[in-house]
Amino acid sequence: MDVIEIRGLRKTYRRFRGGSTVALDGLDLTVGQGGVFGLLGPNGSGKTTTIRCLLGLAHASGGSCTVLGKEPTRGLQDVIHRIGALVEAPAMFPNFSGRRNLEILAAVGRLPKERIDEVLEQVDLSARAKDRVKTYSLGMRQRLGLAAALLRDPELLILDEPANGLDPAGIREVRELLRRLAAEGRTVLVSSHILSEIQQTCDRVAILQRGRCITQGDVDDVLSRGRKSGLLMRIVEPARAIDTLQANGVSAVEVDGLLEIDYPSDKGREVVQMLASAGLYPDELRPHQVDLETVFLQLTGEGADVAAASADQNPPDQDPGTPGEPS
Amino acid sequence: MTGLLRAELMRLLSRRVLKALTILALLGFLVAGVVSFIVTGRNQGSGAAVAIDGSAYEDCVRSFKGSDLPPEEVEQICAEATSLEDPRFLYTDMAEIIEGLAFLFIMLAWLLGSTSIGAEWTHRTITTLLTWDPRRVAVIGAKMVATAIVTFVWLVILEALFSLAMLPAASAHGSMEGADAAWLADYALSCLRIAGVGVAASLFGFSLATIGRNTAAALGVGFVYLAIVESLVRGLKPAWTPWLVGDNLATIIVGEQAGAIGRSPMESAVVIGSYVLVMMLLAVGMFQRREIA
Repeated sequence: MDVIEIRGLRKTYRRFRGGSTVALDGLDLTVGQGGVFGLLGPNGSGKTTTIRCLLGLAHASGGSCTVLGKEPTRGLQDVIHRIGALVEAPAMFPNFSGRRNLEILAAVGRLPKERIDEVLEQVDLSARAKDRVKTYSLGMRQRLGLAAALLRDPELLILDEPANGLDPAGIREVRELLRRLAAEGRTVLVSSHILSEIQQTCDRVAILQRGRCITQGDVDDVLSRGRKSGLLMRIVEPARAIDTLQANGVSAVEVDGLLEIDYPSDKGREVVQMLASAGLYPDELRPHQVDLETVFLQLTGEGADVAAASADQNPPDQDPGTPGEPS
Repeated sequence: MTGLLRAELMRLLSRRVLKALTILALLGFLVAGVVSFIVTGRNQGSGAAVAIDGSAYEDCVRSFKGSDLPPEEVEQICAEATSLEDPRFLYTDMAEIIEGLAFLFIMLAWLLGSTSIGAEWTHRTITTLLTWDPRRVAVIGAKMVATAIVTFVWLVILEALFSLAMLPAASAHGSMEGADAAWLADYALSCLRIAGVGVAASLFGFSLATIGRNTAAALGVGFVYLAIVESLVRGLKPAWTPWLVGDNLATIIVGEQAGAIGRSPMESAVVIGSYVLVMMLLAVGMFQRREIA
């Protein structure tokens, strides 16, 4: 059974002074059971609106959606105990302690207090649980929001930008946590505008643009829809190498001191042979991996903010094609 | 619903504003108690329970000479006309004092009700709560019930503490005369009426803050309405006075037909209850339809 099913979902916000803004424009999306599903899109693409419609916080203007088989406007209360959610920035009472905030939510769900200790441990907040939330860093608040989402031990987690405000170590912890939760058989729907996060965390991805889903599927499938992979080479005489390769019918261009060679990445030996015959030997040769950012930019033709966010996540000296593991 | 109610009671009792207002009120009561004790100490021994201005009394009796009134009646009239105010602090005066303080209790209740939901909008915690229970009517209903319970109990406790704070002054330097079981029952009823009006004010503030989505809206609208609109209506359209909030509240607090509105306390309670109910329904309706950010 599909955990989330969205068909032709529309959401229009009316403006005070007339006119309207279309946030969702006939969105179609299917999230199957298990694994981590990424909602990727630039700011204003409709990610948060989608999540708000799914959780009944916003009323759709048209189309339909179901969560665990229930429509948000009808019957969501029957399945809400199976859902954990984090919508935008975690909303907690700043003058209460982290524990107190969780205790209030636990009272709503009639959960035992032991569960609070478990989730605090899970998000590494036990030591600061008695401190007021207003003394927490942004990352700690985010972790508290995650703890609240996990409190009910949900089978479906809906997380809106869960890595927001986290430092690299925190991002890695969240990524590992999401992978672990998915490995336990849960379904995690996570929205983000950080491409590297989606690429490293998700099994499946949907790319949203202007309220529509422009592609969705397994991350590998979506990546394969991008530019064909090739080879990247570092060589002392790039101009001669390009001439040699072109003489062999292989196109190559120089970009930032590297040769981008349009040739199957598993046939590097043949390229080396062509160059060796001309007395040229590469210093470095590796597959030119296509990343989600490239695919995203190709598909949307925009996403400057996404690219910037992605760049923030990758140290500048690293190849954007191989997103580095934040440390 | 019980889970929501329990959670809301937990939240309200943990709120800093409740603790801060309680501490402020207790400090006020303490000061009032100490000042009363000192002032009544100065008046101690200044006379009997009922003092009469002797020369004025004689003059009064003389002025009735030749009238047809029987001497007992003349004595009674003159005794009442020339009696001096008892300088001692009589504990039975507490009924009037607590009625005089009703305005303060109502303002506290208004503030408590407004901030209880205003804080939820400010911190967006209502969003978090709705991801735990999407039944909006149940969520807002539980909050209203919890606010009403906490306000009522809180006000009754404050009134009791104030009554206790004034006890040393009366018992040591004044008089407990007349403070018998019947008086105590009447006094308790006054306190309960004030607490009941406080609940109405609290729910009014709560509803306004729900509609306006912040505390300031409720406090601002409340102030403008009570201080300006009702004063204008009272002056420009006296015939509408029986429908004004302030006059009906006064009638309920005093517990008898007060002023010119010609309503019994029960009738005034129905009027105020209707207003509160309309506001609550409006707030629930808007909350149910509203997009939650």
